[in-house]
Amino acid sequence: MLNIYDKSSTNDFCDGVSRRQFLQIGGLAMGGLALPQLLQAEASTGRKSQKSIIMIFLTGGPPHQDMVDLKMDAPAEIRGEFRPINTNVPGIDLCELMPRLSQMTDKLGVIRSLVGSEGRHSAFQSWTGWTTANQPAGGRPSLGSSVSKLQGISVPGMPAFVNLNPKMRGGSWNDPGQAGYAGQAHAPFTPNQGSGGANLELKGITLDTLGDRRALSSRLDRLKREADADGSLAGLDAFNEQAFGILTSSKLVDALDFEQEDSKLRDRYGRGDNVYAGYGDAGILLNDYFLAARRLVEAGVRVVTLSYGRWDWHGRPHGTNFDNARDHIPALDVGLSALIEDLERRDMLDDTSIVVWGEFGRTPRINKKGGRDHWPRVACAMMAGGGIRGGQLIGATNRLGEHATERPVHFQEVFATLYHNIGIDVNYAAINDLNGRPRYLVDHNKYQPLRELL
Amino acid sequence: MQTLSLQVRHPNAVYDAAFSPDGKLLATASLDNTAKIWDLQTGEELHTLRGHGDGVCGVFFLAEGKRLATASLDKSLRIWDVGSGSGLATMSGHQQYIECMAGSPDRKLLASGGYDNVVRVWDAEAAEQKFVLSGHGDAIYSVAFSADSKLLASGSYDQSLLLWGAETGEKLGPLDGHDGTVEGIAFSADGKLFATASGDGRIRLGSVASRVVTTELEGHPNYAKCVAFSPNGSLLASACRDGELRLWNAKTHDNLATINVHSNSVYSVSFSPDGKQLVSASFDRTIKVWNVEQLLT
Repeated sequence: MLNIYDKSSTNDFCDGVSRRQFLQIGGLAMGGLALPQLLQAEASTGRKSQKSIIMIFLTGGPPHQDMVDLKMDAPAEIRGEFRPINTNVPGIDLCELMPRLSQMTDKLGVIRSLVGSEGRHSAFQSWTGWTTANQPAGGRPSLGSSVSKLQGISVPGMPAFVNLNPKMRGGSWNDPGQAGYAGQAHAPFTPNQGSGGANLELKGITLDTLGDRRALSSRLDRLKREADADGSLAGLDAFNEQAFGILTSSKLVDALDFEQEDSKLRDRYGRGDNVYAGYGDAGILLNDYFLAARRLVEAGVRVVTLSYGRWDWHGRPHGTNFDNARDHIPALDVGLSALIEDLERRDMLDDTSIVVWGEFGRTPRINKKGGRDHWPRVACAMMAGGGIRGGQLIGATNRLGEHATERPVHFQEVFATLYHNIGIDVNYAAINDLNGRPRYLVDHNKYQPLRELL
Repeated sequence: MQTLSLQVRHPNAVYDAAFSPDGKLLATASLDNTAKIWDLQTGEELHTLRGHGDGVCGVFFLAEGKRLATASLDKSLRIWDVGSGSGLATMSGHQQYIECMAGSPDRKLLASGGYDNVVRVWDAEAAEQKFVLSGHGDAIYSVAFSADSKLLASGSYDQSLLLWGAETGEKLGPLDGHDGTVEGIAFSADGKLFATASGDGRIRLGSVASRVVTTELEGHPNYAKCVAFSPNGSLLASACRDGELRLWNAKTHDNLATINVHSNSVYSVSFSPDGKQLVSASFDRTIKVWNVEQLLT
């Protein structure tokens, strides 16, 4: 790995913004993997594509009945505090806390009947599509790792798979996406998780230098040129050379540096707070990461994942379900609508699939602490981009939001759709497990891409 | 003169705010696990008090403003030096989350309540527990001392409101007349009235002497979260879960002002010592200091 010398004890810019996002480009964590291995794996694939996926994981399980499936006919102890609002698609309503998304519902696929949740507090199922039980040798790879394995990198100097999660205290959530039997070469780059150890070190680049981000880019480029010129890289094999290329790539540095964006665009995304949301054990509610995700896919990353906020709202004294909803849902509304709008303006929306979901839904009945508890029987998801047919409402639940009554959609159908959109046919694509047995990406005999969205 | 004289924020929900006795400082408590001390004149953040292991739900100035007490969901209370921002003492005892804390006007006692269904009274100077008050059947959502520091009231999820001798720990009896959770309590400065904010949306006023509710103020559209008397007893402030603040004439019970001040639940309202300012703290992560005279015009 590449570390940048930190001669001070502080992690903050004078303006209060953490250097962490930026600094750690020099300490990219890759699931403990040496970068050359990653590149070695990439070399085994040839396909290049500009399609991308952004997965936003609502850590903890969002309340389906307070977001996309409001139950106004239910009794008060189930109905909740919010009202639905009309969208720009007749027949689809969303929660009043999502005014912006309601005006671009024609670009959304709204799933009200997500089923098959394992019921565990874990990112695993949302990252992989599979439950944790009975995994093949090596373990199921996450979406980004599978795509990395099958498609490799898209642009030299850019990794195929980036996870933007910070290191989280909640153990089951602190999973950036396992590489599993795809091989550790396909683990995500996790620039916000920090790293240990140092295989490479950029001498002379200090925090003072980092005060000027463009100076860093310039230094990295010059370092690479100098290394090329003096033959320092000559002794390295091709993969180490590529590793050096990625780690010193100003493209990657630039892509992660959302502060380069126009201030008005950052405002439109909603910025957010770079602290752990809610109880403090899960994701952060930092909309800047939506912007970073756009920058990463624009720069050539195939799959960007991130855990957003803390949606496990059991109630007081950590705020009621509804206090937290009034905090999180408007922020999601601003950030997600900005991302869709921004991608569309850049003519990237049809090439970028977005999915927003959590590990399960929430109990219909509000508990005595004003919370909603875990409800694996049904959940919700929102999709956009990737060429899907927007303005689609998929599935329905009963009057109380307890279970799917129409068109139950399994996690793996969403995965099949994402793979389809990025150019992978789930009926054929397979990755060998550690016993050498080919494993399909989803159970394709049961689950196919969502025809409603294609 | 501006209606809003200061707005500051935490990066997470704010549960409480308190003025220093001289009215120059403001302390705030947040789900971000910190309390902050602000200069009211400049809005400058003077200290961020770190050390609690979970959200901070209560703040109260002690010792003429030289120390600050905080209560946390981590089940502890802490005492801090205001000048340096350093921690001085930690008080443990609660077996479950703490939900609320109040300090006595003479700055000698603290009371805290939570999900172990008891109120604990603390000697603020010695940082020691004095009493454990049992009597509620469910979580304690609110506590308040009378102006003379001799009475303590506690309200619960179980809709009960109990009155205690603050110096003796003696249970003096219930204050009857609530049909909802008791979310907030306040005593008037003359000690004759108590007011409560309730989960049924109503603000109730009652006589301390007769220990019964005498008046119900309706108007909040939903869950009332907090209530406060002005120092001279003429005004009553209340706020509810979707950000609405109301000012009432405490004697005529007229609704003098209604304003949507926050985008999320207001967890705390409090008047400054001179009564000219009012602070509101909300789950929307902001703390707003209002000019009371301007709110009334």
